[in-house]
Amino acid sequence: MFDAAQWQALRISAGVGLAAVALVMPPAVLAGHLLATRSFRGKALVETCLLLPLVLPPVVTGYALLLLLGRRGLGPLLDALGLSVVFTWRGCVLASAVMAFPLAYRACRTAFEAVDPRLAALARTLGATRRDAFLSVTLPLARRGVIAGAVLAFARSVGEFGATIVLAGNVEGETRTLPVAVFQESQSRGLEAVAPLAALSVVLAVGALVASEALARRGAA
Amino acid sequence: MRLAVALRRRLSEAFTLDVTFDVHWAAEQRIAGVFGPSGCGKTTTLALLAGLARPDAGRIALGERVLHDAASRVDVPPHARAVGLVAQDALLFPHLDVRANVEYGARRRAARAAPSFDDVVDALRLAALLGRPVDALSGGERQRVALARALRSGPELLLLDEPVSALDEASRWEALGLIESVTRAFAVPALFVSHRRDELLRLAATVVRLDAGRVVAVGAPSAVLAPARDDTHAVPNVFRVEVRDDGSVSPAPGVALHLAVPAARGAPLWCRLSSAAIALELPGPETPSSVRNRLRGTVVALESAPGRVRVAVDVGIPLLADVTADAARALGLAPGATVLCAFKAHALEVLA
Repeated sequence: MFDAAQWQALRISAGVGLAAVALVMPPAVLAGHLLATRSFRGKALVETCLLLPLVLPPVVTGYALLLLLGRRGLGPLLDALGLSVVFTWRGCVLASAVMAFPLAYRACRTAFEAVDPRLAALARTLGATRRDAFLSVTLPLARRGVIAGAVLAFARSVGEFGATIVLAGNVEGETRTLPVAVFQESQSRGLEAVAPLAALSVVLAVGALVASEALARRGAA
Repeated sequence: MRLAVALRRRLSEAFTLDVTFDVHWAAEQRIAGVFGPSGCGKTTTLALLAGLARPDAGRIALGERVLHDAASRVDVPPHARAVGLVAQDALLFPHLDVRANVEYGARRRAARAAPSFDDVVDALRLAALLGRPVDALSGGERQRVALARALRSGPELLLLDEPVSALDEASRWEALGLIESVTRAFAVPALFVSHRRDELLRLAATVVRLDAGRVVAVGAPSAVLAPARDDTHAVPNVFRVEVRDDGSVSPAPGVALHLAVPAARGAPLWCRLSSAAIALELPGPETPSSVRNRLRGTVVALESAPGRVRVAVDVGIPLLADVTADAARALGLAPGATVLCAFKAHALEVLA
């Protein structure tokens, strides 16, 4: 059904999706918890910035990342450290992570808002430090939403196209992810050729949503 | 153990909590009370003591340890205060079973001494509950688990924030007895917060009375908890009684009360009488009756409320009786009048 290049795109997408989730979840959890539990000056502005990738055209987000991390930005420094981002798989991961962040953050924030803050406070009177109370009480109680957020972030990463194509390009075997391959092959070989890949994208997206729901239910039990 | 508190915290434009009090726990008495109506600052005071909120100014010292001193910038974080908290709604961790809840603090208490797991489980009768999820527990069971959890964290002071107010009447008195016995057995001083007089009369050796964010009195419960005329929270008619040789009980010299079941000789008991269960009669020729208790006294005050007149009568102890406005008029009740307070032996309830 798939040729070798398509299998490769599939593998790259899966790897990028997992790496993006690993990259995005810690800040999403921290930001979600912070904004769910604290009030501070400028909170609305911070919230807007965190959600920006959700509404900006992905290509514009990719362009902003390119400016920041390209030759006129941090590029030379990253090159010197051997951590080049532009037109590498790291670029795919970063672009996907940035695009997936709002979904992960929103799910986490909603989950933390549903946890009674007095439980963590009570844990502190029982000898738990702030961090310990978060890890042993708040986070386990918010796990359903956090897992659902991670699965959504994975699905979003696997489907990411706009920011990825600008920041990481279309390098076969390195940055040609599933959506990039669909675009490339539809241009060169026609729509029929990409039907299996397109169908697979749908299956992956639906599968991720179903898994998210199932995990959330198990988490609740 | 001594707790010295002087705290100020502004909670809103109109409300500043400003409390100063000093409580000593004598060796044999383990419970001090904080009394006040809802919204008087009780729960905030506890949050400040536990370190969960920060005062604007002031000082907290528990024994030799200074927990907070704004002047010298000392602020011991909550996890290092060794101040345990039992909340009104227990606040058990819903993702942990009973055993894990009880042991949550035990694994985090550093080098502090704490009663053993087995002793706590025995004292609070939790053995059969240990493997259960906490959402399968009754209100009384939840509070027992919360108390066990606090005790296992090795507290030097226990804060009990209306711990029995969510329970029904029967469980409430049982829970109070349990609180008294475990604080004594494990020698932990406790600050018991309540808006109910009867609970504090039952438990506390000293009571701090708060009103509108200020301490208005500190002292013996009988003095501090005297019902004010305008007090809608009064739950009167709870008193301590000595058991007499014949199984009747005596709340004051010369006053004998009959119980439905004669009391066994032993330690003093606590009794309660509903104000609606007391009938007022004018003195006159006695007719045979099933009413076993009839106490002669003097009307001290009358207070009209919707649907009733509350009559304070001094019969050697203060009693409050609720009668209808018609009855009060028909009997010509007025301060100074002599009346009989009549109630059946069954109406006199012995508290756990």
